[in-house]
Amino acid sequence: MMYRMAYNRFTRRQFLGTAGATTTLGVAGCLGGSGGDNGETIRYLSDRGDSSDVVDDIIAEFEEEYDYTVEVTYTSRGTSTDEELSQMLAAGDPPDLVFDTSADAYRYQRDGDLAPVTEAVQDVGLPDPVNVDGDSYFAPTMVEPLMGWYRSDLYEENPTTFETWQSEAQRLSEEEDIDGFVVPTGGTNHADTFTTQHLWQNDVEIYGGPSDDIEVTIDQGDNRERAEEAYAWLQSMNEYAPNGSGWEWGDGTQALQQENAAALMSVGGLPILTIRENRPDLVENLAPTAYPIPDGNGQDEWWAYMEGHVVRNDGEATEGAQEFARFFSESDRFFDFVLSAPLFQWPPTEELMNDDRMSENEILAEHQDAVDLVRDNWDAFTTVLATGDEGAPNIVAADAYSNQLLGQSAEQMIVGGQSPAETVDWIAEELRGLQEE
Amino acid sequence: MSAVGTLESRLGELDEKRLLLVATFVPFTLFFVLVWGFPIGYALGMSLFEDPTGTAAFAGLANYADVVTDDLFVTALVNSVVYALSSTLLSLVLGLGLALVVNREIRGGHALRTMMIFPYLLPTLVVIFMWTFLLDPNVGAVNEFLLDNGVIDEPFAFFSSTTWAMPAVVVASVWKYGSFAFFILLARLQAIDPNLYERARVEGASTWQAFRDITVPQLRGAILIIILVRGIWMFNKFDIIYLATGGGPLDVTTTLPIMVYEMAFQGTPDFGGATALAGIMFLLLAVVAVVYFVAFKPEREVAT
Amino acid sequence: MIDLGGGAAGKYVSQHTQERIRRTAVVLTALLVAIFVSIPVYVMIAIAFQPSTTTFRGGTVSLLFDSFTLDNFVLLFTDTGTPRYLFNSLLVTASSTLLATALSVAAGYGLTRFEFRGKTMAARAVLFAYMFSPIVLAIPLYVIFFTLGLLDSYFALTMALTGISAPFGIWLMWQYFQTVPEALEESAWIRGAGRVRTLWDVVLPVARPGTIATAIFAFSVAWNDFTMARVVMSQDEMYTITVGASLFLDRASIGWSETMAAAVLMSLPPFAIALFLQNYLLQGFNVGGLE
Repeated sequence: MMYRMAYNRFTRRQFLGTAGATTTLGVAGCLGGSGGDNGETIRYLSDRGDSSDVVDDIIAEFEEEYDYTVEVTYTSRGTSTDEELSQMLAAGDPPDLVFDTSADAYRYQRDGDLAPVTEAVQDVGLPDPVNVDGDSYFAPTMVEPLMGWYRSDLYEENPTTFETWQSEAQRLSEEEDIDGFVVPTGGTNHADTFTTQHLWQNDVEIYGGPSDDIEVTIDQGDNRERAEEAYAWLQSMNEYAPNGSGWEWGDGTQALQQENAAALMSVGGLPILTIRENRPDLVENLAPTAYPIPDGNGQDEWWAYMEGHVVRNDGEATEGAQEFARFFSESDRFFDFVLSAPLFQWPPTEELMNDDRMSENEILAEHQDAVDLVRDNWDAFTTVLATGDEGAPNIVAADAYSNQLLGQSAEQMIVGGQSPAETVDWIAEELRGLQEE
Repeated sequence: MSAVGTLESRLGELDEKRLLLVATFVPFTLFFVLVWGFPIGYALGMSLFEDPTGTAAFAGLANYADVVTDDLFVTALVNSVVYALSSTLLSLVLGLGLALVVNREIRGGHALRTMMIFPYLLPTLVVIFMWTFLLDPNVGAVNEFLLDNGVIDEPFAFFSSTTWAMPAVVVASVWKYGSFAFFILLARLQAIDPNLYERARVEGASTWQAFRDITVPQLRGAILIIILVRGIWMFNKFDIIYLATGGGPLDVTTTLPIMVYEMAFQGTPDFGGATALAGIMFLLLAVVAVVYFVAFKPEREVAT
Repeated sequence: MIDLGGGAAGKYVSQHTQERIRRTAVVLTALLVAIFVSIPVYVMIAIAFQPSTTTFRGGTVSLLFDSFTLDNFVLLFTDTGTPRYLFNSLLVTASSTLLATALSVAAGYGLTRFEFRGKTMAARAVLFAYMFSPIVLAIPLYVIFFTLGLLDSYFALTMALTGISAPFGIWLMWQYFQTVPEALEESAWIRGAGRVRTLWDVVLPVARPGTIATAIFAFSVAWNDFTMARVVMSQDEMYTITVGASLFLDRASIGWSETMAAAVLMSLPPFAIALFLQNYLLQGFNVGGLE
């Protein structure tokens, strides 16, 4: 449990137009003239410090071919990028290119801060999640689907359903002196994805309507009952879980690693990458799984982060950044980049999933069951952004994710002692509060 | 600057003297105006505007009203007081006990003194690394110890518990800042005339009586100052709480400084609200400072 | 710590026995405190110098030190921005230590030796500043530096850090110069030395312990700072070691072992001060306590 930037408290004024602030800050930047950028330097903000070797290689190749210099700032993965970016903007020193999620890309596009990267997307044949009036604003480089891991030596088989997970987790907690599950809560990415996915598992439609008229529907009609059921299930699973308030991905991984929990719903093979370093002996006892699902439901909405490049229009090397995004997508080293964190990062297209280099990777070969899980569920992958009607981009969901409201709703229930019904009321009110701003 | 005027008339003729005067007072004045006066004035000014870094519409005291009526404000105020009081009093008890011990010049007293000063000098971040690791439910040594000895049945997440998050932060704070009280009290103890104790012993006073009648009165002033000054510093502490819990779970460790940071830097910046809250903290400090100045007259020490 | 036998009983127990009980209590207290202080330090060191596979072997955390490695440090220097962070930390620490010490010595001397109206006010201003909350100061400084385009600069961080450390330094030197008798200076003047020369040759050498205490204090404030660097610096390449290391645990390739290795690096200067310069520091405490 460390250093949580992510306790975003939701305040009433929080969403006063980012656009306004950005303009002012831009002006201040001109006055200050920080840095000696001459327009030939592309400022690149990336949270892939773990993959810096490959990225630096691609940059070197790019610099050789084009008349640009790329100055890259690596931040750590996850929560820090947003804060980093807003501080860079405040310093009047916006980056030209940002490595970010599709949901964030859509938020920036709404605020009018992005330049299109149409060529890097449509010419290369990549998915196009942020397409506005025919222009693409987000060049995906990878997907990161949520995925769970359970102890195959303790669970006799993959419990799969809500019902079996509950009875098996109970059995383990009572007989094996280990918690059967992990229920992360609070303002963290881990808790937010976890809560959202479990609502989806019970077919809760949190939102409805087209992009320009998103409605919060979580407390309406059948959704209300289904949402309460999902929350109630989480509440009951919490009986067989450690106190996960404020837990980020790493905390859950440590619970699995130290054998305090026998199953963890996380993202891709992230836990495996850590456990391989610290407890190589434990890896063979861990098997991948989809998130638990009520008996009879199908895995038809599966949260997969999509991450890639966006080009800002307020930097000094916008064109260069567009060139670089395209160069990156087409680069020979692109695959090395994706595979720099195998099991956690996956290729952005189904076609690339079948590439030879996938089967040649040692770590992937050791976890063929995880590869199969990704391949079999490819069509169910969706982003939190695509939650309007027919998968239309949903700005409310993007904002809710950046405030981690769903994760906070679970904390309201599990730590704050609210009932599932009160929790549904709470989250519905908070989500509508986002819309009013 | 009337101060310089007075000085000049008194010391007038010597050019060198004037040079020294300028060399000593100009940096001092510049520093206080630029790094303290101006920013604080600026912040107080900002607190009167809606969106001060943007449209900057004059809002009077609206930001103050918003902050004070925010539910979190009362929570944060109470948390700040609880945190400041508990960490200060614990440090005091610990520091007093240890100062009495080390004052006895036991063997190893010097090593103990070195050991005590080390945590005080460590970066807060290092202290937080140590304590979050020690108290971690999954990898923490404290949990392992309690489990092995049957005190608890399953690992306990101190920083995730609404009951224990605050005590855990207080323990880490006392570990780091406990030696402040220790060193101040030790200095006072060593300044007590040993003849007083000798005379008491001759007169047949017990150890306890000597402590009560000689030691305690000599330490009273120091103790009050520790409570006041250390209390203010703990009230204002930001980094140690922010790094340990970020204010959670459910705001149980959100103090006023944490709230200021959240308003200013998380989500869309609300500098109007943040500076209004800073203004409120400024007023609170001013009140305590007046009490301090009136009760202790610390400036006497420099009034030659 | 104290003979808790209480007043009345004390009269009937011989002073010798009292002394023995007291001595035992004293040693016990010392022992407990020593354990309380050293366990976290030991844990940090054990994790930093063990391979992570040893630390986490078998699902319990092993702190027994049965294998030793420097790999965690190597990884810090090759795979993270640690060298750059350390450089930044050293640079701003050095510059703000210099600035704060020079300012404190100059102001301390002036405030001691020259009489002027409003001296009480000045003393109060210094004390008030020294009780102030860094985060409350950080917000306006952030906005001002941002307006001036100075965020992400060594200059801004140096000024901010000096802002926190100088008030105490001034207070300390102010008091320290009072222990330097004016007669010392006067006799130098009589021998024909100028004011500036006297200050340089006579006063400053005598005030050296105070100056060193001030410098140590300014050094600690700057080296330990998290708040100001977090607020003023927004680029990875400008981070100080405290801000940089606080983000390590978010990365997949960095775990507790490397994090504790970074903690060991950050602990080296404080350790050196505690070991070699503690007497100067204690002098600082005696004069007015320090933050």
